[in-house]
Amino acid sequence: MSSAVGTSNEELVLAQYESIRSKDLDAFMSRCAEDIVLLEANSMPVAGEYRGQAQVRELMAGLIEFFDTSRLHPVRMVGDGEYVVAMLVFHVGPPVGYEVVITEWWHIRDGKVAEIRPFYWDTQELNQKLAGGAAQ
Amino acid sequence: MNATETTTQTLAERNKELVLKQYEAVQNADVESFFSRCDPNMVIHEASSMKVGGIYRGMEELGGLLGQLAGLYDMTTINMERIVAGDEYVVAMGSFMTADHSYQVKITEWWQIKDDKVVEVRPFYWDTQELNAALG
Repeated sequence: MSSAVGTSNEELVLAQYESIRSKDLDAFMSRCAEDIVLLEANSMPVAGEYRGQAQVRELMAGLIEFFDTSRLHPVRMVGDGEYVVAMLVFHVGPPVGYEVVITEWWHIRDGKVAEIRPFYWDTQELNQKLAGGAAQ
Repeated sequence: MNATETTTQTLAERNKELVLKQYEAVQNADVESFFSRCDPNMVIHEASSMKVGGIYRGMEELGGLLGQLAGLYDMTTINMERIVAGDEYVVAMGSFMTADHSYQVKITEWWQIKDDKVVEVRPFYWDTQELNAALG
């Protein structure tokens, strides 16, 4: 990863990615605020606003099951005040076989994740790949 | 805070100021000012599904891209709500309207800065599929 990492907020986000890689949902949720919000773009299969631990946990369980998160890795990260932004790469396994690039905004409040906003590089291309894979 | 940290923070603040000036130049359609803070070999990546999809290298291609963007969007409406800065990258999140003001484009952009010049920009649109539908 190309940016220096040092603040506790950046370390917290890196720990979240490690939890996703190892599919440790309990560890992931332990670093989230009770009123956490996670937003997903309208065109995505998981579109919507997920509010609170229960909704976010259910979403994350589905995503971890669907995507190949074992190779997830952040390639850039910037932390500044309450925000950490990371660019990361993960994979959609066969039959889709697609590398997903994403930028995530993490809002950290009092040492807990209060909000996550994932910006996919190209939702149209991703949705086309997912539809193609589902058709095979 | 040691001397190294002081230098890094100063660089981050300088990078943030540079990017804010770039947004001000975009809002004012001041291409000359925008170019003055770009490295001659700068690169902009646009998602492949977009009307302007592709990789743009150098000032001539950048000029062509800015002209296309000016036809698609009303950049006087640009409003960046969040900005975080490190010693190499600045990331901003905000929005602007399409040219006909029918759709609010949400975006996050990675700016890579070296020696006080922009060397790379990567815009992540919130939802390229929805945006492409809005642009028709």
